[in-house]
Amino acid sequence: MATCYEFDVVVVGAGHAGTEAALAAARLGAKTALLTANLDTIAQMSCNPAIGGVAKGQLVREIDALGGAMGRAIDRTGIQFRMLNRSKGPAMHGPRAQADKRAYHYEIRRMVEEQPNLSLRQETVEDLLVERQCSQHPPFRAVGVRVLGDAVYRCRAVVLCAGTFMRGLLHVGDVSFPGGRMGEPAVAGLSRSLEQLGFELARFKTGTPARLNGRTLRYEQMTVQHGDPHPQPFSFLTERIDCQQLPCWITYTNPQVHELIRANLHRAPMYTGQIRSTGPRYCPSIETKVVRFADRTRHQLFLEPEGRNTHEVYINGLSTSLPRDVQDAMLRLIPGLEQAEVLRYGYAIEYDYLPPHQLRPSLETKLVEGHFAAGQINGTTGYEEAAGQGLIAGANAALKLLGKDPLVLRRDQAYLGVMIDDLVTRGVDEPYRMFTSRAEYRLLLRHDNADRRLTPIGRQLGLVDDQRWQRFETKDAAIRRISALLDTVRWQGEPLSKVLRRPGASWNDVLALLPELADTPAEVAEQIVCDARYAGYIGRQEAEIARQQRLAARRIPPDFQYDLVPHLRAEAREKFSRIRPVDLAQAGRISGITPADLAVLALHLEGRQPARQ
Amino acid sequence: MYRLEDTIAAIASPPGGAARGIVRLSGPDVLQCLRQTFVRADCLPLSAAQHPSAAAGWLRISGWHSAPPCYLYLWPPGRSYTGQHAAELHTLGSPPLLEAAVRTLCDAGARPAGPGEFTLRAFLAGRIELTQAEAVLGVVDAANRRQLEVALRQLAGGLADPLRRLRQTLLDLLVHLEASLDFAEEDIEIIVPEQLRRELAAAAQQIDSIAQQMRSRAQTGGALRAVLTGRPNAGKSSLFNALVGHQAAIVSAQPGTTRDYLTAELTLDGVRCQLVDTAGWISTPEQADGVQSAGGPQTDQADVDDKQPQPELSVANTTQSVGSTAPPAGNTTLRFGITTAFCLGSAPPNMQSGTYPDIHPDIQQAAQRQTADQLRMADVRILCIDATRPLEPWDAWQIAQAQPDKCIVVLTKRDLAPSVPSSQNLASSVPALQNAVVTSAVTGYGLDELRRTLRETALRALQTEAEVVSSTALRCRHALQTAAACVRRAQELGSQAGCEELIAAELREAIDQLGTVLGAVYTEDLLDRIFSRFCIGK
Repeated sequence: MATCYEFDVVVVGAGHAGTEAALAAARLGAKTALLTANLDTIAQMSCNPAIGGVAKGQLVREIDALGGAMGRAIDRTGIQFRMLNRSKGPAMHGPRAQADKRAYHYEIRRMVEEQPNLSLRQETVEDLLVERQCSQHPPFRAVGVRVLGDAVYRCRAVVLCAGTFMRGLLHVGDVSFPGGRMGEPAVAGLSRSLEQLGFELARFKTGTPARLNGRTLRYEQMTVQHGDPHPQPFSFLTERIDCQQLPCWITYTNPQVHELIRANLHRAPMYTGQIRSTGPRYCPSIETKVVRFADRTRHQLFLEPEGRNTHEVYINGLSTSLPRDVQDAMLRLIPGLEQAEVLRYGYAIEYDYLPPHQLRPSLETKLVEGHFAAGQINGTTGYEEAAGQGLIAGANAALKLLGKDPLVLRRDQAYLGVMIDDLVTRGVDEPYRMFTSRAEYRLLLRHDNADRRLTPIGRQLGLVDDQRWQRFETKDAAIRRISALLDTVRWQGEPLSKVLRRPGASWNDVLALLPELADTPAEVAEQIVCDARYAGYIGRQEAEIARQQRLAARRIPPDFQYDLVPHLRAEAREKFSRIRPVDLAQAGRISGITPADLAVLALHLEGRQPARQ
Repeated sequence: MYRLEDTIAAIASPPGGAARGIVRLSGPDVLQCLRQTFVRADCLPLSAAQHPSAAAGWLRISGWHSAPPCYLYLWPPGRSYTGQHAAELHTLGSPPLLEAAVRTLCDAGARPAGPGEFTLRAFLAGRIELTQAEAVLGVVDAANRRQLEVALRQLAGGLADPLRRLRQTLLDLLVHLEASLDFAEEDIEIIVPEQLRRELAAAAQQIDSIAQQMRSRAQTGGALRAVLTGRPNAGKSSLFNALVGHQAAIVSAQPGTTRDYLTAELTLDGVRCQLVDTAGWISTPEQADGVQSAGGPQTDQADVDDKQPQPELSVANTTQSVGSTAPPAGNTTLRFGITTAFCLGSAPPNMQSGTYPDIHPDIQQAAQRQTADQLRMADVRILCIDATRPLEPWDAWQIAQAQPDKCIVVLTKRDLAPSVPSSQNLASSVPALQNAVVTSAVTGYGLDELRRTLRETALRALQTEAEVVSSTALRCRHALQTAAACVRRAQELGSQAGCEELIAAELREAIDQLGTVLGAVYTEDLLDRIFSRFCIGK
């Protein structure tokens, strides 16, 4: 007889998605279990020991604004902080930090352990338990999970955050073997379980570079890269960061390295047919870079320390699945790495993912009620993307049990909204990474105003605690007060708020006229200046935002029969039936859908409404 | 509210009698409707086919004893204009017959089509693009060959192509810019400022050239020029004063009173128009060339030679109608004389009177030159013909030369005409005069009609000048203006450092605007905006 545990929400997997999911569900009051095969790899950085970057940094700020853990954890465990894109406009700034990998793990683990309503447990989940539902849509309902060792966790919502573990297959040269991460076993049961339910699964590939012993590197051959003198924290709760920062180092590949790689392509699983899945175009392996950009004579490499208490160094830019001897030979040819000693070899991994068109915008699957999915399993890449989905999925699992509407952020509200909408509406054909260019309203979606965009929403749902809310209210009130003041004070016949829009205008121009504002907190001043810079552009986008909202107001019934709209083009009918958009706005964003298709659908929906009234 | 899933029927041929008339059908029940309306000559039953097909037969119209002959053309779904099951019945062009046919089809389950419904269905089935749908409207509305050519070119994708190229240019530029924003850590400069400036300038130039291409008078904001022309003492100045509403021009019974040209601004129900009064034409042998080039504003001598067959055709028509009308009165001989002269393909006839002896020849020549200049710049010509006098060969030649879309023929001095019996016949015997506006500057007779005709002709002239169908032109103009403004701002921003994200925002807006014209962006009023203007059956 199996042992049985009762929870509201069970989260499977404790990576970046799973931990945020469990924390969010528990914050909303759901009795939550976080199950992971290994307690020592919670929030593990399987690849690059860094958080943030352009667009990714904005995601972390949004996660934090909704009460998530990632921002606070990296602020406490970062070893180098840099604001990327600083030479560009403020909407393009992306905070990034190197993490002490183990410290980050412990920090997140501590937060999980301290969270009320949350039980962390080492368990290997083998099967998703469902019940068939009488109603047509959706056909199943999640009721729990079965774990290795004859035990069952019963619950009303399951959040699946299995990362790369489902049928993971590791490749080093021509050797390949099952594994979810180097040194950890893969999971086969879950894939089978999902396929039996009727889910479509597909395969992606990703890879990681070798790790080196820092004591064997010749740093004098490389260029040093220091952190910012005044680090910008990720979390809106962090006052400032005072830690001792560690440097990173830059070196380059050269034609000899490229020649070596070319000579060994017949041993590269990417090119021998051993790996057939698609990898991320934006983070290619070194062999792919050499093949695809044959005219480049060098590629930049960053040597990044993995922590304060280890000499392990990560080689950013040298991801590879070439055989061990080629990896060694490659290092011999790179300035500064000639005598490098490998601690871990680079490898590639292929894994199952759940093509995300099978998800609703709430990240609940369309097939199984109460079954949510978040993170790499949805075809994304990156810790920040995973954590963001985790937070939304976990919150929505709890909200569902509370009988509340799901948290679905709009594209003009958050990068999180853009990401999830892209996933569920357009699907993925390569691992999805966030970019600022994916966000059509990115001038509005800045890292500096993530709290003003999202904290009130989080507060209303119960994701945001009193401390964060008070801090936010103080900042928000200051911004409102000063903005109102700048609207009334005039200079050269124009209100100061307009003067600030002029190119080259800065906060110092305001201080010259209003010296009493000298003690304004930097984050308040920054926001006022950014708002002014983009006010004109955001104003011009408002019509488009309104148009999208009007379209979004026209809902499509979940059981809508597209077969009954014969005038639809076959391609449009197939896509609509597959994706089942919730409203006309989403329908219009499906790739390959023309305005004419949308018009047909709109006409048909119009025709239905009078009949139903 | 548009419905797509029923069967529609409408007369697709132009109204009025013609040799052949067409009834068009589209929708799921086409075959069912036809089975009750059409009988195949070979008596085989109608059946759904995989390929377009044709069949001869008869129309069966309830309550009719005779069965008019008819050809049936049938298209299966996916192969027709509308993407649905579609059919055309080609039969005799009699309006009552065609109406009865549609009625019978409607009794069999079809419904009468609304304006533009066939094209709407074609657009929604993805068979045609937005600019093409508008071009269909242009083809239907085309008032002359030039407009038709413009519309047909657009139907073939003529307008969409340069716009699409422009959009692609901007997209390519945006891709580079976005890459430089998103890949901050790469050690490659994806787009250098110099290249950005160059490409923005190229895009600006592309916009200019499209704007040039679709330039119309309405866009430049200039008023339209309507020039009064005619023989001396034909009543041009009296008409000018009557239209303007005050005595601007000196009027006398003495021919050749007006030697300088006069202009006045008229507003005809919202259409601005500059009215020009010119000196009357007096022709001397050496000025004949000048008259000819004035006859067709943009043409030179070589062009006139090329176009010889056309006037010949219209003269031949004249001969035919003259022959077919009841006893030609008055100046028949004279007019046949003109016809003969013209058929020989020679220069226009001279005027009977050469010069006015009491006016200095230099002044006369200068006045004539000015008149020729004015006519060359005219958008619309108002050819004044004295109704009290027999038709002069010069007048007849002018009438034959007149482009109907650019020239209004006016018979003046109606108040004096009734005493001259030939004036009635004048209109009936020369077909070109049938559309002439009969006026009297003294009584005001016909002035309203002239204003109306002038306004319509002016509007047509405006449309003719544009290189695109006017409804598209309207949307394009707005989109192009916005795109041009965006690119201009982007160029300004390009000179400052750290403004890449703003330049990208400008480019994105420009791209969206062009997408709206090209129908790549859905807007709620899309259907109404375009399809409410179609005539039924197209």
